[in-house]
Amino acid sequence: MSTIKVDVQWSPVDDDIFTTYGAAICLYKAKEKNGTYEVFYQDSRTNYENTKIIQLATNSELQFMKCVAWCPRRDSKNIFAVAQTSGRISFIGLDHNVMDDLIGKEFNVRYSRQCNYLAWNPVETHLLAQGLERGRSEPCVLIWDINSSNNNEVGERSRYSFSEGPITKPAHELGSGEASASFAWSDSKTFLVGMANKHIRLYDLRDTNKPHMNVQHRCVAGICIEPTQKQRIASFHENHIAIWDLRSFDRPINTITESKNVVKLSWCPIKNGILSVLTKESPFVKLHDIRHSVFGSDELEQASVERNVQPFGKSNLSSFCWHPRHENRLLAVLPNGNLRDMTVYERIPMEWSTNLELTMPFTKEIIHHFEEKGTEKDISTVMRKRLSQNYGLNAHSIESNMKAVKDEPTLLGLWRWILNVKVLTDAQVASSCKYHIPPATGIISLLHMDKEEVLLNSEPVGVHWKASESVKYSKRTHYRSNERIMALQLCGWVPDHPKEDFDGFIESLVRGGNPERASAIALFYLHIKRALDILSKCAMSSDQGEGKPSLQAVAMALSGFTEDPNALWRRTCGTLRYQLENPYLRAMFAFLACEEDNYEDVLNEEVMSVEDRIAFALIYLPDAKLKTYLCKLSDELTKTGDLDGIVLTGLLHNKGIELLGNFVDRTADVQTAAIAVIFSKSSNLLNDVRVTEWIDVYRDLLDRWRFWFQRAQFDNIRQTLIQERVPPQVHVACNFCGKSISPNLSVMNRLSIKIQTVFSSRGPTVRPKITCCPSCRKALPRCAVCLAHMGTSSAIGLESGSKAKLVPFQEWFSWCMTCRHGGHAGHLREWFSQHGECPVTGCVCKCASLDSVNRLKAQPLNKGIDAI
Amino acid sequence: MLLSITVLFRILSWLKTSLFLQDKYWCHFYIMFVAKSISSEHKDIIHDVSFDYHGTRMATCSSDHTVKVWDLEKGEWHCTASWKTHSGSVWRVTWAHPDFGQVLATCSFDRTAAVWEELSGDVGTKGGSSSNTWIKRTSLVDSRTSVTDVGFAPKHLGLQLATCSEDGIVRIYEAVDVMNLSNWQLQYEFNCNFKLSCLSWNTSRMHPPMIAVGSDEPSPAAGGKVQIYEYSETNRKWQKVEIIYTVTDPVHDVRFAPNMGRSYHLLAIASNDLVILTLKNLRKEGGNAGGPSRFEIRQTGSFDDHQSVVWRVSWNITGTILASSGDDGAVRLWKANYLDSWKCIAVLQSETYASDIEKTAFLAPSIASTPTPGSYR
Repeated sequence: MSTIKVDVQWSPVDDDIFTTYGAAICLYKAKEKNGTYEVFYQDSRTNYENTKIIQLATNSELQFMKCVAWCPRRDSKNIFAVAQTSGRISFIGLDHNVMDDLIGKEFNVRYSRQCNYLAWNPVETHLLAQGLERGRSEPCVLIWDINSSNNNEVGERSRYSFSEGPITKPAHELGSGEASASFAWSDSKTFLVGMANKHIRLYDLRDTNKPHMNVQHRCVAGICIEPTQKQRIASFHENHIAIWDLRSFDRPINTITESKNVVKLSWCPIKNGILSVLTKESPFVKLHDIRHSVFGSDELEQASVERNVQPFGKSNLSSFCWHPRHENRLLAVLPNGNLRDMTVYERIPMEWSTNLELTMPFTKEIIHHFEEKGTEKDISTVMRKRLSQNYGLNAHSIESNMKAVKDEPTLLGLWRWILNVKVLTDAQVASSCKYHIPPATGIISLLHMDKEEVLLNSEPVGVHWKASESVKYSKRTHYRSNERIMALQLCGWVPDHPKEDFDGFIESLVRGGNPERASAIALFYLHIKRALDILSKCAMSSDQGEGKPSLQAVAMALSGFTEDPNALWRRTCGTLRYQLENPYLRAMFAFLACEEDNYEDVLNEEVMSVEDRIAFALIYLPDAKLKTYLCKLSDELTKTGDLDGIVLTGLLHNKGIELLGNFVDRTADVQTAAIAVIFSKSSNLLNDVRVTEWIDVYRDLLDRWRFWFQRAQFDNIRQTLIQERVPPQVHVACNFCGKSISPNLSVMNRLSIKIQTVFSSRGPTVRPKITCCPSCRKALPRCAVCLAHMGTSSAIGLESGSKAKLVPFQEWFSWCMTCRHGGHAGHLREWFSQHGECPVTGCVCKCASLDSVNRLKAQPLNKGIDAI
Repeated sequence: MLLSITVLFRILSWLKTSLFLQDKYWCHFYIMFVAKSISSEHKDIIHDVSFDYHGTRMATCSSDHTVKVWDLEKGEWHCTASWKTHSGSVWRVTWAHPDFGQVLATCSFDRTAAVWEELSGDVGTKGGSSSNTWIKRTSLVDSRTSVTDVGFAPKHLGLQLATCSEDGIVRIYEAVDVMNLSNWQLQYEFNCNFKLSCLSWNTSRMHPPMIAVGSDEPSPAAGGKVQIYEYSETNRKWQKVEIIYTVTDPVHDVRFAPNMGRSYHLLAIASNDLVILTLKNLRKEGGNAGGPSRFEIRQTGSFDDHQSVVWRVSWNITGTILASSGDDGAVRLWKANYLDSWKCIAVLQSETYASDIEKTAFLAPSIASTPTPGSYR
């Protein structure tokens, strides 16, 4: 089966009909675009529901088909001229409904020879060209006229004596004693023929005796004429392709050498300058863009841009055909008859805009602009959303940052820590205690655990349960030290000895909708009665929602707590607690059930928040164990870049930066990293290369989003940390003494008295206003428009109400950088809105046109002032 | 002048970011994209589109030898300039950082690259509606073959421009005087020894200047088709630091992701597959020796969803979403989950494409995914 080459062809008339021919002729209809058709050999039950291509008809009666040509006549659809190897042409119709007098007609050649091609004339559809192998001195190109009535010349009968039917003589014959390899109709009258392996000839039907044009070249096979530009022609020989231009037909304008022999050569029928090539045993159709070969026409260059179309993956193609009318529609066929009707898409360039819009030109005409309206948030969108909620823009309120990210639990741990550190340091400053922790401290450095030896000296304290009097439990050991208490505060826990604070803390947790946590914390402080109270209260209060009634059961179970290690309670709880969903409830059972100060079950309760686990460890673990536990936890959290770990590492040292770095690696949330560093007030971090990179990247992002104000706010907050002087950018110098005329800080200090006097004369307005140089007391230049000295009011808006007086911009000193004339900004703006030239008499400077920014700025400036 | 239709596009958005640690909780997300269509009025294939630093200006270049500049005004894109730039197809267009002015660079089949600067026209002639003119500041004519890609260096390196061409040479030009854009000096030149199709600058400030180049050489014998070069301050030249041996198919595009302060670099490669690489610098902070950087290169993703060829890749501003376009006529969006594995989150396919009947498309989000069983622990 596969030895016979299967070829494919679109209908010259219908848009969705095509045929394949190899051993048999099959007719197909494409119901939709981009369909495939698979031939099943075992059982030919094709699943018609899914296929977009259906087979309409098939004809395998004709043996030894060599060439098939589809009749282009509109009135007789689906009629084919088929040439057999003997050279005989028959006409068959695949559509059974169609009755045409053509069907059944036959043309025979004298001296049976192999037929190389059949070609209908696309315009004069009664003409059919046939090319033959060499046969004595017989002509090799025959052009038949199917309309010609039977030609009854007796002499001719003997020439075409093979057939018994009516004998027809070709309308034209040419190329005696030669062989013809390929043929292409140029228009209704002219055609190109590749002959005798060495000639390409252009003939005109009106004079077939000698060729119109002739060129000697070995590329004579597969001549095809570009449909859009009739001058361009391609032909091949083995693996060489030659591209010709009829206007300079003496030599090819371009040649292409393929690695294997060419099987099929075809121009793209709609797009200009695309030549498609299929080589032997190749899985792809190569598309050469040869539009460029005209460029630099003196040289013969190989510069054609190519791409490959691979319709069937690695399977080698048998043939292909472009759709004659649909752009980029290609039909490809495998040797086994499998088909694919595909669209060859253009390369789509695309680019993201800064605010997550994707722009892509799908075709040459239309650019599509996609804007994300999705629910899935990319970090770039998230950052912008946070900015709109003032994330990191309010220097004095850490809470506002927490509010901006309240939906992102992974970030809250970081902000809670920053807040707790601040509360702690503020309290220390207020109480003027002797030990000050530096800002941005983590628990590990607070407990001196980053050093080799254990410096912590915690005293174990036996603590009684705070249960009802009837029950007596044995004491549990707590470990206490000043550092541990501070560390607990960093975790957000409140120590239980000033009872009011502790009560308030627990109350706030209950009110915050987390009674399980409140109860667990109370229990960890051994306030078991209280813990049970919280649970049962929550279970009873109806406004807590549906899920909570189970708390009553939990409270009951907890109250059955006994210390007897063999009691049924222990064994049951030990297994049942895994069925609880809330980690705090689980931890409570684990805490009660644990023996001999072995708190592993609580400490490894991973769903419980990191801070609570640390706080628990801070109460119950002895120093050495605490160190191991915290260091292990911090290493884990650092590795995963979990921001909850910041409470351990702090941001003072490399470890914290490492954690933050891993967080950035994972999430690209450079915003949080940059803001966190600044809000943690850890000034020694700012020299770290990574930190400066984050800050720079974040500022750059803000600039790209045109959030300039936000960037300025961010810079201001950063400034409080760096404490370095900002150099002035521009100042106006006095014409006479060369000193700055503006009352900037240094001048202010030196001349405070003088300026005071100047200002005092102007009454209650405190606005600095000077009409002379503060150092040499010479008058300032006059405004070119109102001729008043600079420093006076521009008087704009004075009449329109007091509101306008508050617009100092109108009175700013502005000038042209070229002619150096200027005046009140407000006056100049008015002037240049109507004039292009400088307002100063005699100055011909076209200030307005020189200012390239002027026009761009004009609109936003207007708005800005109106807004003020 | 502009035909502006708001069209809704068919989005096949399937899955999937798992929110929870357990694999069985897959969350299905839709990404909805609303498409706006602009009539480009280019007469041939558009080869490249590029946004400026702020994303408010856009430049397109085409086989019709022209470049068009588009400005965003009140949410609409307007073509404010269109001019013939080259005598061949214009492959790429790119914007310089606005600190250097409104500057574009183009490269073309006509073997040149060009630098363009915008001049604002006269004010007052017609009350502000003046046409902006772009003038050619220089034409870089060193290449003997088609210049296939052009890219401005990140801003902290000054005004530098890298070009690559089919003859395999990367050329790095610098405008020594940023005020005078007609004076570009060829500072460095290195030969990669294969036909080059694309280049990309690494934008990281923490790393020495770095360029990745890709080759669309068809023969697999040429070895790794992506090479990475780095500028060595001690040797004062560009050195090859890595060859990506795993990519042997022709490469059509390479892009470094915006660094965003990450400790590693992300490189997207458009070859027969879409390949995403992670490059981790192995050199430690302290060992700031002059030797070339060594990288631990990990392939974080390789996808053949585009069926045969991937043409272009593009990162979003944070380097968290990658768009790729390929032979299947679709643009796919990719995103990494918390485990750093990349997944396709959306497919954008224009239904209007090649359709000669209607110019509208429809929105039909179809979920094509069910979580594959068997992947659970």
